[in-house]
Amino acid sequence: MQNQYYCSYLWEQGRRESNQDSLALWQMSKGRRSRLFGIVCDGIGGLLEGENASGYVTRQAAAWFRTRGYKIKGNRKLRAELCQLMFQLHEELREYGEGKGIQSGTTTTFFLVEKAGFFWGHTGDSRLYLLRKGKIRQLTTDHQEKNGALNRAIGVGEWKPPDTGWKRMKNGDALLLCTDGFYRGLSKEELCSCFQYEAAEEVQITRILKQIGERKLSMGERDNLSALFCKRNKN
Amino acid sequence: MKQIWKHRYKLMQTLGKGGTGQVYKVWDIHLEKEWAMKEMERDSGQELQILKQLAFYRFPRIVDAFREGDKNFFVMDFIQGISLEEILKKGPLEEKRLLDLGKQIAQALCYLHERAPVLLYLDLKPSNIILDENGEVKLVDLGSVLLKGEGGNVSGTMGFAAPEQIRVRKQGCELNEQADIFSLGMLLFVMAVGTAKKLPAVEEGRRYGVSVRQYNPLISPALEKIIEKCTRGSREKRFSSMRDVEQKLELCQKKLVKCKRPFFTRRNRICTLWRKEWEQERSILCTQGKPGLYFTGRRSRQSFFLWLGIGAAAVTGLMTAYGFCASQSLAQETREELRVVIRDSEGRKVLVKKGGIYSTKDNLFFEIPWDTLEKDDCEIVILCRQEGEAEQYFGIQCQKK
Repeated sequence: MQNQYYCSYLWEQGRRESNQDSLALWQMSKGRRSRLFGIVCDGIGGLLEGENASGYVTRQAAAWFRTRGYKIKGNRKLRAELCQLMFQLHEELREYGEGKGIQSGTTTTFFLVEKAGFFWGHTGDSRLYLLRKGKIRQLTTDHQEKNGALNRAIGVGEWKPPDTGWKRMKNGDALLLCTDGFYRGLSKEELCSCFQYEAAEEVQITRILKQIGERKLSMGERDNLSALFCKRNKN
Repeated sequence: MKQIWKHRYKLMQTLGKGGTGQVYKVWDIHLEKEWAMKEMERDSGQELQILKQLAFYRFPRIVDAFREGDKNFFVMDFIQGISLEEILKKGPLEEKRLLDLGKQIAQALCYLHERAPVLLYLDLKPSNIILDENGEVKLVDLGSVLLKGEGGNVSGTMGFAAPEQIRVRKQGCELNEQADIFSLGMLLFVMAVGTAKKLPAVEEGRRYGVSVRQYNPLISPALEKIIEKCTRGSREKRFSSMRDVEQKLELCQKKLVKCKRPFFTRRNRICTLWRKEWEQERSILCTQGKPGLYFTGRRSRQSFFLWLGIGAAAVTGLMTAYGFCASQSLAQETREELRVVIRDSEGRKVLVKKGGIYSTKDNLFFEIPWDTLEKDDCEIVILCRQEGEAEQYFGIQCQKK
């Protein structure tokens, strides 16, 4: 049976010494029903062990989805479980940092797609875009000060629950999750024009993401580049 | 150490230190039964008098009291069960269970408050609450119980003690039932959130603005209001009596039951007979982060023997036992496998095969001989995984004895 969703990703180290971005995509299916979970985390560059922090949050979130998250029904319960999970991870990262005498944190943005729509959550400056009928819309708000410094993350600072929301998903809609290294310097229109509405094959999507990555590197981008793209089949 | 008292009570196990003395599990040679025995280092006349009067199934019964040497002992029911502190290590409770336990604790406190003279518990916290084999709540450690209007040691436990309880130490003031209502509110908060680390600071007269739903959005607004009213800084603004709190919790419980009624249960039951199982269709994971996270304590000198107990409550179901301890591994450091001896709570060696799966509900101790540790400075990590869950890592502190 043809997969209902076309997905692809980009995960590039760029010009950094290590890749502090982490991403995961999991799909669980039963007959014609499918649920997808995508997450992107960006380790805070100014702190230590960013790759461990982002990797840990990504792994634990993916493990939560494949053991429990795919079965949960109801937005209220989903929101509660995910907030609880993020709170736990925040505390664990904080304790880990205290034990080693360092600070280690990560941003996190995720979505969980089901039949009627998708649930999303966000902390930090990674972004989630919704592409629909040739138009692009940014769903998340960057948690940043005016000077660009992060004011919310998992593992550092005071705990605040992530921003969450739910939106209906129609056939042909696409979601783009990306870190700041990917979207910085590109306007929404430029991003939208890259993902033409007719691009439906996974190979095409992978090629588009790689082209954007190369373009960013040629523009002088030094940060890690990560993006996750998920599109629901038109039919 | 002494092994037998009054030619009758034989020591089985040291359970720990209560608020006012050491507690042991003893075997009654005459009745062939287990009891808990508390050793008091100072005059325990008042605690003994209070315990003797209590006749409620939520408190342990006192069955014997005697003096041996310069210490007083009293023997009471041994409650086989698990403490609320151990349960909360797994995470916050579901609202249904929270309300049930909260109601039972409120019932126990109602019994104390409705007696003549009134008794105040004054040390409500998760470690003083035991759930027995039937899931019934029992309040133990009555060392802090006082008669209303009497002075005494009212320090309580940080985070759970009411602001006026802290003020008593400095300025002296009369405590009343509101102190226990405050502690119950804090206890409900901890049960809802799953950790005591987020307890708000206790200040006199301050209205606590912490929202429980900020940490656990599953909690209903009704329960949040109960917790908020119990934990108000000013005692006049709290519930007027523990009976009110109990009734509110019961009302909350009834509302919860009404909302959870299933719909079309017969149809769902039939559908499950032919339903397929969920399958993983796609999985992508990209990260340079090391798998798992090492929860390590501060570096310190290694000890002669490193004893580590994993609480029985944390180990349920199947656990994959790794028959080695690994030193901390970062990108630049090396990982070494060390040979360890695993013993159960009776001190008997447990034979495990590396990578094998064993079922246990017992405490486990990992023994590492001194001469196998070459470096002065190292950290030990235990890898643990429950079936179906991600790997978890437990770090331990090394202390030289």
